Amino acid sequence: MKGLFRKDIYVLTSIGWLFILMDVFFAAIPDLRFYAFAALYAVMLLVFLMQSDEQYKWDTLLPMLPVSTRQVVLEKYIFCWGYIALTALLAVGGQLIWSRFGYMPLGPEYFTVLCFNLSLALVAQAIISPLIFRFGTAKGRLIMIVLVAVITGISVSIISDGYDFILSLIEIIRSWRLIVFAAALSVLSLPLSVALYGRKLSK
Amino acid sequence: MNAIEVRDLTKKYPGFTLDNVSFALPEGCIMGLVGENGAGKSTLIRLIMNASRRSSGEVSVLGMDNRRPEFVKTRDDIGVVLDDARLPEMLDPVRMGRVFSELYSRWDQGAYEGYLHRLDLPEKKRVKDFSRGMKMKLALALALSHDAHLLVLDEPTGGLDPMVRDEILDILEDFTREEHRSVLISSHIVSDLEKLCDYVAFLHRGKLLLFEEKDVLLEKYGMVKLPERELEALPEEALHGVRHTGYGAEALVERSLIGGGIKVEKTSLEEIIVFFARGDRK
Repeated sequence: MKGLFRKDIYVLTSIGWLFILMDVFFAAIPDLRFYAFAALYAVMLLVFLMQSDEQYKWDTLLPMLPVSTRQVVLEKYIFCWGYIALTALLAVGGQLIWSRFGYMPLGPEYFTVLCFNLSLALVAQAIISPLIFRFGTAKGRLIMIVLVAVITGISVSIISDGYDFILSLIEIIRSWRLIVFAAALSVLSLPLSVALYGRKLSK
Repeated sequence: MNAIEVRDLTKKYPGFTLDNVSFALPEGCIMGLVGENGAGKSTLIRLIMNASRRSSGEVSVLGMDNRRPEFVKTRDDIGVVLDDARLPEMLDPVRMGRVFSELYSRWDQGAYEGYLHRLDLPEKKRVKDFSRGMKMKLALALALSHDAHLLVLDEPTGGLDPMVRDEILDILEDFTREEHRSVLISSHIVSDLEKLCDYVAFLHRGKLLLFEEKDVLLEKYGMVKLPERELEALPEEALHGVRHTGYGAEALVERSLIGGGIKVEKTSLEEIIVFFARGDRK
């Protein structure tokens, strides 16, 4: 599986630098509405990497190499989770710097909204991944666009309406519970993706 | 031990069926899989590697049933080259080598660098800037650098110029100098296979029409050239195909079934395949 990670890192650094640059940009803006973009953009990484595999037909060579279907899917999941975590770190790091200049200080509200956006990204990843592993990136991307539009719309409108709404939401579902739920959903989608990808490959 | 054993293998697609294919490739041998485009060669290779679900039948590779979960480890002993190479094209050969070194447990970096040098491949050029021949040579270098016991090659010489094809065939010959190493190579360029193979399998429209040792095939069949009116004199069971020319007829016959009075000439593997494919018995 190490070789698969290495391959994806090479792909990302060779042709995905613009992808990374845009994510850093969205994550570092001192406005959490933009972090919603950054988190969802991180989910799009999966589509980007799978699309590159399909473009060069690497996905048809993979089932003949000494890696299992589970390893192939798990590698993409771990890559995606790692990238989502990285965007969160970038956002916090950027916010630390901005707060020094008096912009939007780090506080409980900030972390609440950050958790909320991270949860949205994980839920999106849990929904999108099995679809992409089953149907490929052409169809998967269409579903992704709809989902991103819906989630971003919800996220931005909630944040635009003010933190009070989120804080009241947090009263019902505390942020840590929300993120645990989202993470669990993401992990649970892994075996589904493995099964669906196996079916796609064995056609 | 057989390197590959296929029994009653069937795969049904809408509009195409790979039909009840059986053969065994003994260890240490090279088998050429011949067939026109769409005959089912790539489907058969995918099934052998368990990269596609069969409708029925059994496949064992290097002594392992390919449906067992442990077959993933057996793939460590198999080098694969597919048509179009199918490598991530934004990587260069050095990076490709690093990726493959972490996929195969017996990766030999020295051997890989040796092949890159021998095949005159630039180390720092991205694969997307390679010609088709260079891509295939790189795929072959990757498949040969992890001490594979079996090479599975799907159309590795298709669309390449004769010099590159010859270079690839030389390398494959070198590979099989060690007794335990076997090769399954598919191609529709029969002359390439004639140079290289011990066994020949001929797939036609999803059916395996021939599977035989190459030398036995060349010994078994011959060509008879005679006027049209004398065709009747040939025993029906000896005839495997007839080609009508302006000067008479050419017939592919089974030597052992022809009487002593008729002159039977040597034939080539290509002729045998063509006659079997046409199937236009008199």
